Amino acid sequence: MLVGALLLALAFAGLGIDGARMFTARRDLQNQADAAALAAASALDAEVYRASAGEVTQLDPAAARQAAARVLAASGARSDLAVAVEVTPERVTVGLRRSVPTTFLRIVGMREQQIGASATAAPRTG
Amino acid sequence: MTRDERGTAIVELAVLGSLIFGLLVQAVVLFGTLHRATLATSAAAREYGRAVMLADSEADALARGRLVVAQAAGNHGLEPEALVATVEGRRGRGELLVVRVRTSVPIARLPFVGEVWPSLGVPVESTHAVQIDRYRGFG
Repeated sequence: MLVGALLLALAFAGLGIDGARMFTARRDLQNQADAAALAAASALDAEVYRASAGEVTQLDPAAARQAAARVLAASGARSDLAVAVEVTPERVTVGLRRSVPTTFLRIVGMREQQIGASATAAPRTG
Repeated sequence: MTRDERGTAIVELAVLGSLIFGLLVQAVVLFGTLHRATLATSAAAREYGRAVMLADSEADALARGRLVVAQAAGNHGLEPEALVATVEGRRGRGELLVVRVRTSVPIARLPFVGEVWPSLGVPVESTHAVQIDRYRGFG
């Protein structure tokens, strides 16, 4: 009975540890997505802005993607990170996905878990 | 196996089981402490980055940064000086700033005794990068 109780305690502790690791990884991913989206949203198309005498503010897709990539690289993004940046003239959405290897959940056949986060930002003037 | 020997085995099992269970509880508590430190450094790095990004001057950035790091530490049950924050990069429009927040989690801590070996700790660090708005004004 004692051995059974210890195994049960170990199983629940392991579940908690793997769950906490995923929670932390998901939180870090969200932080990275937020920062990348904010940076990308400041990549305005200067030519359109000047041509419209400051009336129209829209994003430059290439510059927005570059800004997002720059922030992700500086924040120590992992090499296996899947990045999707969708840019429209009005807003940018940064989506990030990666897998988190498990330690204790391998016992039940779950070797890794996919986690994802996304953030949308839009430029605002004034 | 005689009756006396059976009794001895039960006592050994109880002692050994308690010891293993105690170690397991200690490991869980240690992991919880590490997890708390990870959350604290992550929150502090994010908030510090935001504070520096919105600050109007170096002095303002430093004051805001210290405040939010102390708040993040307090929110996670840590002493304000437990978190050490540094910022790399130049404050300017479109510039990239990298914030690092570090702490050390003591691993040789026993219940009712406290830290047995204060210098023995696991370093925990979080990094957060932010870009200052290209079109913002500085006051």
